[in-house]
Amino acid sequence: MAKIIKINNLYVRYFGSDKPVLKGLSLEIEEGEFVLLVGRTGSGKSTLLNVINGVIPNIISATVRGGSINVAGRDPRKTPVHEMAMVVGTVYQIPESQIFSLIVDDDVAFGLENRAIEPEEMRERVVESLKLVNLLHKMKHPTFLLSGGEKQRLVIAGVLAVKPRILILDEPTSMLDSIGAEQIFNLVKKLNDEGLTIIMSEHRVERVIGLVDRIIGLKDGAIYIDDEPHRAVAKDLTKLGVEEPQVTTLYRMINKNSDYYPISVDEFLELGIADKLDVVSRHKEDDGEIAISVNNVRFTYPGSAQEVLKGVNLAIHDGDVASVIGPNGSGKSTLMYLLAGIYKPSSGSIQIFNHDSAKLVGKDRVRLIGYVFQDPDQMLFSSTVKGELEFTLKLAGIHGREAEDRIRRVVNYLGINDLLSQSPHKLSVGGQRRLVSVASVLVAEPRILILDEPTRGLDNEMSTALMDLILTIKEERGMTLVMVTHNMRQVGEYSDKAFIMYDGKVAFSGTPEEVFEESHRHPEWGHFTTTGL
Amino acid sequence: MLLNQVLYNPVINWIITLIILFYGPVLVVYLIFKLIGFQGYMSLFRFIEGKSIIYRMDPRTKILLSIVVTTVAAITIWWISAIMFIAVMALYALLSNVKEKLRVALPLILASFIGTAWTESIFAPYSYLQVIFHHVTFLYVFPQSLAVLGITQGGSGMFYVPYLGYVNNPVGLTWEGIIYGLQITFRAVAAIASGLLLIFSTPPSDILRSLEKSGLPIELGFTLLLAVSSVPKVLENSMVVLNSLKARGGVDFRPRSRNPIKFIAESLFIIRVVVMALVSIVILTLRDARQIAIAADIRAFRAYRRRTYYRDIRMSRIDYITVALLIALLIAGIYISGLPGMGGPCRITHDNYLNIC
Amino acid sequence: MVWNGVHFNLNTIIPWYVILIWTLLYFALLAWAWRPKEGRPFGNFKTIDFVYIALIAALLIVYNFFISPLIPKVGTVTTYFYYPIIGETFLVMLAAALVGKPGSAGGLTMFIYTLLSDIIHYGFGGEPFWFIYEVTSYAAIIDLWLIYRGGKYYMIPFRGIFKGATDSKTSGGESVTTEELEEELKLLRRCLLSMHCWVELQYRWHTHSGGEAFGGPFVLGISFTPSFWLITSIASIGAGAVLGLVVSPFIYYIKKVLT
Repeated sequence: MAKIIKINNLYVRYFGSDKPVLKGLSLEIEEGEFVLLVGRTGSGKSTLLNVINGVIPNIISATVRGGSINVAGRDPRKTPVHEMAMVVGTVYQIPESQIFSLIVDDDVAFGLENRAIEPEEMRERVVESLKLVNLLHKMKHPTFLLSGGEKQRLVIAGVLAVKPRILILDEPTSMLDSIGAEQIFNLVKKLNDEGLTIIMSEHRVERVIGLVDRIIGLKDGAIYIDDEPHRAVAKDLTKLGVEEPQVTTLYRMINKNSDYYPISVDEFLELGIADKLDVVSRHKEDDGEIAISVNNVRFTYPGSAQEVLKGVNLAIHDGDVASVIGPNGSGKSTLMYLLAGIYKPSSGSIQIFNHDSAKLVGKDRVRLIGYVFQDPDQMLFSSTVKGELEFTLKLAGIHGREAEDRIRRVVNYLGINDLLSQSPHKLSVGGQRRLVSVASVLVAEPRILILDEPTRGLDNEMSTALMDLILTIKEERGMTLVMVTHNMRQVGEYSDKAFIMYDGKVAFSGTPEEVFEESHRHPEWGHFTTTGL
Repeated sequence: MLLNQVLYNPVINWIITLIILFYGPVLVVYLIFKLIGFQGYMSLFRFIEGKSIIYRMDPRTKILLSIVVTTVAAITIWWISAIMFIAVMALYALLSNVKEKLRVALPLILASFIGTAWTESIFAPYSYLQVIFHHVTFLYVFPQSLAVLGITQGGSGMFYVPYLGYVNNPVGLTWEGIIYGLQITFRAVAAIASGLLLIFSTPPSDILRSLEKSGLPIELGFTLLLAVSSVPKVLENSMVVLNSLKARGGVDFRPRSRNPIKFIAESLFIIRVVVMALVSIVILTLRDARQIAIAADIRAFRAYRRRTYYRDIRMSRIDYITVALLIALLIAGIYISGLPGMGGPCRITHDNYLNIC
Repeated sequence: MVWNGVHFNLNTIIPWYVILIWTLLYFALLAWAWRPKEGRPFGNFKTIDFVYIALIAALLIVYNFFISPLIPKVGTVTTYFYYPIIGETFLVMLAAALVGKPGSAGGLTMFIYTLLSDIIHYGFGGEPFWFIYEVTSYAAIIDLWLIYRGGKYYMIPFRGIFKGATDSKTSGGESVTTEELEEELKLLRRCLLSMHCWVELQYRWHTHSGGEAFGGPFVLGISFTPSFWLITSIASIGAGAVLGLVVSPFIYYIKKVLT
């Protein structure tokens, strides 16, 4: 088949930086291929994608040196971005930043109106694109009421409406829950089957590896791996800070020197080595004091008629790691808000270490329970990291020597000593800013720590490092962790107990193994199985 | 004379005064927040399709309706505004899902009533009231010492105050002020009701398309649309930031200390926290700007001057009839405003401090 | 004569022709600054500038309709010194600092905000004087300042830090060390604030006193004595300087974080 993208010896360097992001990268992609782009944050994935669609250097200034770039017969450096977009459609991470209208069909029409497509044809194309992404039934829906997955599908529809030949997706699911991500992956696969060339960068490798034709792994601005999936995993993706499928890891333990590794459970079972494995079930006894007990809690947001929590009951023991999982809108975040005392239950009660949570205010609460929000920017207020930590301590009523000690302790724990005088808003979005947001809660040394999707948007390596760090601190300080997450691997690896929220209730609770097993029978809970083993 | 001693006991007098001065506006906020809530406010942006005449009209006709109603309300006597207000409210019957719409519209209108009437009843200069009503009846007066703080009512003379006798240059609640406030409010609510009618019956992007068709540059159209569609996100960001502040230890937004130095320190801390929270909301909102700009450029924003429209926006027969009726209304309004005693005495203003007339 | 609520009372403290010349001059300068480039109106505005303006207009709406009502207002004190305006000042100036192109403050941000608030809150009055008033008084001085300065909002020799101010294409990502930051903050305190206060002062003068000296009588038909006008002007200029001082470092910080 014809090569649709040809890049030869590409160098890219941003202004104000002396190190190039891409160093002599050469690449050819065939029409109709499905390419997965992996690598650590900062390895140059986004830069490469933005060179292909011409955003670099036409919108984001950078020096692009070196050989030739040919995308469907055009040089994106010399073609206006909107013309390139007729050939290369691009979908970025945050769906909200790519939607401009209040109504679904208006948004799809936005790009077409700008290009002066005739109204008759425009209306046809809008319907066609919405059909493709399966949103036709929500044509007249307000955009801001769509779920994350639906919003991203709408973005894809808007991009597809101009009929591009290549679709670029830059971590399209990092802001979505499992159900939303699954929708995107299925859609992208369907589009690929219809002949569209796809280049996607993605951290959830395990979920997409079975769909793609080819994996390109970037390391420090150069191609490190470029191969068919089974052989690519054999070259050890973990070196690129990327998670590999669990079956691959298992297989590696048994057979170290193969050049062809299984990437799905079926393949693994076919190899006939599953019986060599012993399944070790770990079970932690429910002992110790009850840290959190939620009794028949119902909750409705003020000014709303819809009940969000419809009688939640749960108990979490001191020292446990509890995961709360479930699709978006099931009431997970609301439950966390209630635990953290941001809202009071409409009825029912919450006990935190035998204190009635409704009566727990101010300092007493801060010292008992800390809440790390999903997005670090949502909880950073000060112009320096130190100020941020002092702010928490002030609210917790801790002053003087004790405060100094605590700050020293927490920055040592998290290894952020050298960041103290920097502005938290200027730190790198992924790792450092997240660490500071965790530090700003940990500094009050609460007995319970709530983490709302602690690793969202982080690459695999950073996620693992962060989770290990938090668990070490948890062990040393004897904390209780409550974690809202969409990452089932984290649930399996770290938690003692998992709760499935569905439709405002705890639909099931048990050990992660029990939860995974039960969730097979309930597809509506979302896709909880990682590998099925 | 017991009532006199109770009502004008200095302590009680001050308490009542402060309640009236401070809690009037608070009541408005309460109405808007409790009755509409964030959810309700969001529904302003949630257009629901309908089939009736009002939905089929050209947005420009509805904009004209709003302009004419406001203009006529501004130049004629208050009861004409009241009639127009009722007429516009009658048009709400043509909206689909009227109940939900009234749930938003009525508190806004009510809040406007209370808000305007409240301010006017206290702050309308009684020299002005005397011109309109030829008489001013005081219901309750505030302590004279308020004048030191700069609170005066822009008039002078001796007035009879119930239970207190004659008072020189009183400041307080007048019956005429309340009436005047209510009258003025009719002008405001007629305008608000017709504006809301436009929003309830027209998708925002159609309003913009119709304006762009009439010559509004697409840059302005885009900016307006993005601003409107960002409001829900800014509200959400604000909620999350406030929640995260609460989770950090629940800042108490009222200084409580009795020690004056501590009180000031507490107040300064609160101000700092409020500013920090605002800065966080601003950063959270603006940090995606670059991404949005790239996404817009990719979709050919400003790439070509020629532009087509997804929806046909065309004046139909019903539009021409409505426009003719509106022009008739406008002419009638101008005529009536010239009749003795039928003109509008005062104008509704946007911000508080010009609201003096 | 009263028409559409406007009294056309020309018995004003500032003569009407001064205001007329001022308004015409302002719009003429704006038209010049926005002369089409490559067939596009709005001169050298980039897409991101419109995005900043839209987002700040949304912030203004949320501030004025949700946050400002929560700030307790102390009766007539607010009439003399309408302190909740600090949020509005802050946001409008932020738009000027981020976009840094003539017309970004009054011409666009205030225009968009006024139009939207008319549509979604006050009712579509379509009263032209409000537009002219809000656009010319609230931020016109900032626009003129930007025209005069060729788009550089701050008046200090930043070594390349504010490259983004004039060229929105410049990408972020340059890291600033702490020493550099502190050095700049010192610079900031010395010269930036004096400039900023000046702009703020003009801003206040025009909103408040301009309103009394011309807008009040002309539109509302009420007269103020020159001495009253003078006193409130001095008071509001003082208050304006304070507001400017308070707001400036935050604008600086946000701009630094975002670009």
